[in-house]
Amino acid sequence: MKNLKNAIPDKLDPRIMTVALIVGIVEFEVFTYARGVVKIAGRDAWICGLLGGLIVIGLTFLLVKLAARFPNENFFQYNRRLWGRLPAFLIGISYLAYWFLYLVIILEDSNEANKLFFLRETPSIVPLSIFGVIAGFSVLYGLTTLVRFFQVSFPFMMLPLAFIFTLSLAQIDTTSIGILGLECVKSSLYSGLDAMTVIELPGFPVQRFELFLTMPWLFGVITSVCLMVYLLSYGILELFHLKHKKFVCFAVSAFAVGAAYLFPSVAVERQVRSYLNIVTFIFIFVIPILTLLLAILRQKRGSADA
Amino acid sequence: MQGRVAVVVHGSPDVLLAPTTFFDLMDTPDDIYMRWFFAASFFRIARYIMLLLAVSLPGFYIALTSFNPEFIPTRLMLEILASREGTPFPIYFEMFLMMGIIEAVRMMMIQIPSQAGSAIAIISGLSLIGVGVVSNVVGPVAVIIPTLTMVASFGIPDYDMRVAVRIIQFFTMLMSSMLGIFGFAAAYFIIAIHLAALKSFGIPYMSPLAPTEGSGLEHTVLMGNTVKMPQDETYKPKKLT
Repeated sequence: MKNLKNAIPDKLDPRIMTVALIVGIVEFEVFTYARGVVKIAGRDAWICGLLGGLIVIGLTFLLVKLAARFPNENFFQYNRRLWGRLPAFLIGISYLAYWFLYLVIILEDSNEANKLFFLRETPSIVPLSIFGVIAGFSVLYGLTTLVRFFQVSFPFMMLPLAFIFTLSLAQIDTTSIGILGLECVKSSLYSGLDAMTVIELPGFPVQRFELFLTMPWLFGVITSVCLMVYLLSYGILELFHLKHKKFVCFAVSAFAVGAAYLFPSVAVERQVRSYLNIVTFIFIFVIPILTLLLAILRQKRGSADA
Repeated sequence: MQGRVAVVVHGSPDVLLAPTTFFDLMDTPDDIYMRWFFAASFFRIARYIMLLLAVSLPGFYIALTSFNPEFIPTRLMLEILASREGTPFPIYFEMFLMMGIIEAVRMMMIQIPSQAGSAIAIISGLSLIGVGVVSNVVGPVAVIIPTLTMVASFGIPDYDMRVAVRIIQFFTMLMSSMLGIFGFAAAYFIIAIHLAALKSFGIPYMSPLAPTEGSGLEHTVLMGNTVKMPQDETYKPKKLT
């Protein structure tokens, strides 16, 4: 264990930045963009969804190109060389603020869901603190353990989702696919939820299939929280050249838990989330693509390739 | 052996293998000797299901019945409630009591190493449970769940693993008693992170699943055809990451 801990580098891993950007894009595409599109585009939602998907794939490709250009450096490191010391510092700080807000929103969301489904009478600080402790604990072990944890948990997440997907196949109304109607898009996008609430197999040990969504949902929350705490902690360590990894990991978790606990109401949270969705576009598309353009214009490459 | 080191001590029937992984501890020699690898896979899957039951059943039962009874089918829930009518203790207390009795009987069988000891342990265990149910101190479901858990735990081939599973049972029960399904999931996350961080002589404990090692996947939950299986690279020394 001692060897493992010593082997964890005290710097933000370049791979995790790419993963985080792609996760951010998927989150943006699936949860924000798709919902918005269905609402606004109405009958043309399918076309918009397909075109939007193509654009997102193109942008993701550019981000991967950016990461590949600097294989041994993370975003903070090559930003310094591309933007200059002060702008890079300001960009770094704004990323930290964005991740922190994102983390608080995830925690607040999970807290609301917890209050609604699982712990109706328990004070919300208890589950929030548990999230914080688990995240701090896992991030402290480093990226390798975090990735292995995802790998171990993957079957537990995928098997219930596959089960739900199989159930949801019966729910999709195939007769309206030709028309590309709004109902069809809705049933395709939210078919899992339909299956959860509609299907009941009398006599089957588990009649209410919401149970199968519980573990994947909790898994999704904990992975997002761990990822954000990792980005924040190692981002702070990197940006301010700090050494106290343990203190920073748990301090970040504690601050995020405190902020989520002190969040005034769900209405405010929804409002902040809608603003955050706009800001997300800047952080996961605009800044990285400007950085790539800058790298191309200034002909800068990673130290290994130089 | 696959490149591992065996430690044989004079006078001891046990052989130590290093490094070892989680999946090694779930293997039995029968898996290799079995002529038909499909049958070996079937028994392996059964063993892993038993492991899951042994680890999670009491905690999951507490979480569902105490915090989220709406997830349980109505008829089953009504049966559980009817069987518990008149019992003085809450479900989590019943579960801790019954699991405690099982542990006590197990210890008794170890501490009195004779045939009489086993007989005393079995009789006292059965009479305690029987009288408990008849006198309505505990409900019948509180007997079924711990018994099923105990039976399932014997599907785990390795003794040390069984000991670890027993400790995990109590941990998940404690978390579920306090925080329901959320506590159960939190316990799972803590255990999973711990397992992901463990190493045995430099080899990750959860390999070949995490880190994923394609060549070794047929040594995990499913057993591959030994003639066609690739060389397992799980135990090949790697650089520390």
